[in-house]
Amino acid sequence: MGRFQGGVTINAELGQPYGVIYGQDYVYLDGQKVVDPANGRYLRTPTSNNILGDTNPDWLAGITNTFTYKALSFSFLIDIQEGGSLFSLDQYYGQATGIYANTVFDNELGNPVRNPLDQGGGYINPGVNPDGSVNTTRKDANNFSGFGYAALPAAEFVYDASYIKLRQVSLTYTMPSKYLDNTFMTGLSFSLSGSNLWIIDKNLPYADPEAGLSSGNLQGYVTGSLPTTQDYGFNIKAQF
Amino acid sequence: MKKIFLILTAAVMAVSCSDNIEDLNQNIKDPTAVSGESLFASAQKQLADQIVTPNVNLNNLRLWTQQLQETTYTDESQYDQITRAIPDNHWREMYRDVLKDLDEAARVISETDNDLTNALKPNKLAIIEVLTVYAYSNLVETYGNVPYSEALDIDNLLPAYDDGLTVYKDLIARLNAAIGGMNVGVGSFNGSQDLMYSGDVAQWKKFANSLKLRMGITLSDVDEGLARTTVESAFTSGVFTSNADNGSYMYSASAPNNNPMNDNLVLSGRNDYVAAVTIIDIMNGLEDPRRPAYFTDVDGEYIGGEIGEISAYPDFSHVADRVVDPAEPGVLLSYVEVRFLLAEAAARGFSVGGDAATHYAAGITASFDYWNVDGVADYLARPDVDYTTALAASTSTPAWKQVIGVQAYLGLYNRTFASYLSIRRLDYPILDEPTGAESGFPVRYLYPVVEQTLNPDNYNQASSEIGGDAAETQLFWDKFYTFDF
Repeated sequence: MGRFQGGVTINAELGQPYGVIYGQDYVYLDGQKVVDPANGRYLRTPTSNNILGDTNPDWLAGITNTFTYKALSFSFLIDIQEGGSLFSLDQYYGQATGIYANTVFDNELGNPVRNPLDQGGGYINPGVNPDGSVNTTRKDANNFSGFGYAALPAAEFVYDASYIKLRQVSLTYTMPSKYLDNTFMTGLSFSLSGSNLWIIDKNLPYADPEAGLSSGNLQGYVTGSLPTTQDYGFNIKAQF
Repeated sequence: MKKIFLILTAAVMAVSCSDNIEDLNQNIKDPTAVSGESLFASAQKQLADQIVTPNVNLNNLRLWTQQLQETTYTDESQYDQITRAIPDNHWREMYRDVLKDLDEAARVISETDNDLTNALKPNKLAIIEVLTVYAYSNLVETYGNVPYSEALDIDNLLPAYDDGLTVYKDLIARLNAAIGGMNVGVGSFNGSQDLMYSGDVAQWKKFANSLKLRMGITLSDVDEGLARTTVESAFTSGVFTSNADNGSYMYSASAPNNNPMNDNLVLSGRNDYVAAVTIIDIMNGLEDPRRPAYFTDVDGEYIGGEIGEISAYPDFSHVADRVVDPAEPGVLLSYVEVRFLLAEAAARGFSVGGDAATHYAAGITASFDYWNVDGVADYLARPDVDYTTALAASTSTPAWKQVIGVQAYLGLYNRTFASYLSIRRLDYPILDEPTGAESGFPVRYLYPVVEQTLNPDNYNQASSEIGGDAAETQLFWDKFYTFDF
């Protein structure tokens, strides 16, 4: 249905879930990722028709309740999505250019990973070489291709789209009717409300899993997403 | 004042009444029919743009052939084909913007029944056929098996792929028919319709024969008999004989019809490419007088960036001013190329009016002339350039592959697909292994991602028939591989 940067496509194919994500995958040998012994980099499939994920969630749920005490009432809504996948172009490029914190760390030798290889930098990708032996080649990380798209196939940047969000909270004060007896009004209430207040839990780093590229059919592709806005409202309701 | 209003109102009333009220709904801004000639001109421009462009999203062959090297984002120098969907983009440009336009141009022109232009019709159709063969041969040389017999049909969205060699042979037959159908005594397109040769049929015939020569040579490792007859008949019929014959699209000095090199390297304001160490080292070793015509210098020296490594723009040579001139013609087929093809043909024992040494020296001379460089006599006398002495020192088998391969490479500077084809067929010069290479030297484009996902049955069949959809899968005409990576 759509082809995106990174050779990633969102597809509607017979026998597959609607919205399956295809792209370049790791090369596996007996279930282990294969590493090129020449440069320590994971091998990737030349083909881009490998299943990387399914954009459909396993289930969605909402929990809502209202508590009332005297003239005050408090209500909330928690939205939950479990499962579903999405591809993050932000991570694909951002890790390669080193803007994310997970590209800076001390490697297993105790040296900064961004040091050149001859100064003990770099890291070892866990996996096997094409001959089946355990990989021992260090991958350099002292320039932009240390991580991210230049080092890893698209499959690496497919994330679990699950989240738990505090979607909405509101607090309402209803004026007791005795104060309204001498007015033209029959009812008066004040309420404070807020939306998108808190993403309680999610697995996609640095972005809202709901902030996809597109609405409609093309779900499951995140690029340059803006932070979700928190909305606050104040409401006065008068009845007469 | 009142009078003026009255007059104006009356005037408006007078003109707004019409007997043919339907005419008001005619859209005269967006034509519903298009002439075959303008489709042909459009196809020419799209073809030239796609062959010439250095745009990182469209054509990275100057990087793959190690004429240029990327400064910061080295992915394409490292043979990344997928991030920017290069195979998809080339496929789309060639099928949709070139071949479909040519197909439609031929259809419209053959249906046009106009006494004035009818006499020119056979020539126009033959010229369209030649460019069609050019585009299809490019696709076969680049991907292997491609949709051909079922291609360009809007009612068949899932075309089957045809065998590359079968397509190639059919293309040669079509080219023969087109050459036979050209009548040089009659005109064809006019100057605003044909932006390569202004409709000069004699020039188009030379172009067709030169293309046929290239296609014949390409088959020489797979079907020597057909290669020989194709090459020899092309030569007899008449190929390019001077740089003035070059098949070039004439760009103009101002955007949007400027040379794509100018667009991407100058007007973009970006500094993405420097010279590559491979071509610079070869030219420095030969003290090649063409260096200042090809590249700028850094304090009098020519320095190329290591392949696949980050290269600071100011530290290295860049392409020379002429290469990025807005009006520099975009070459689709050149006399220099033809001479090196003839040298190769002679070396393979084909009869092409002279020995390999003659054609080889003429190719180098033509290259010097094309770039307005002096000193070709001294250059040809160098032992590492002279055909006989270079042949004796060659390390390739057969010896002429390295000698012709290296000089053809230098002669095909700034030529994208031509240089790529030459390197894959001659296997020389030896290229450097890029730091962080994603594959061995890619001897073909991968199939487009959209074909993998939308046309999977035909894709899978084509993939298995060519021996796997991988960058290292050698195509039917490409029998050797000399690089050690």
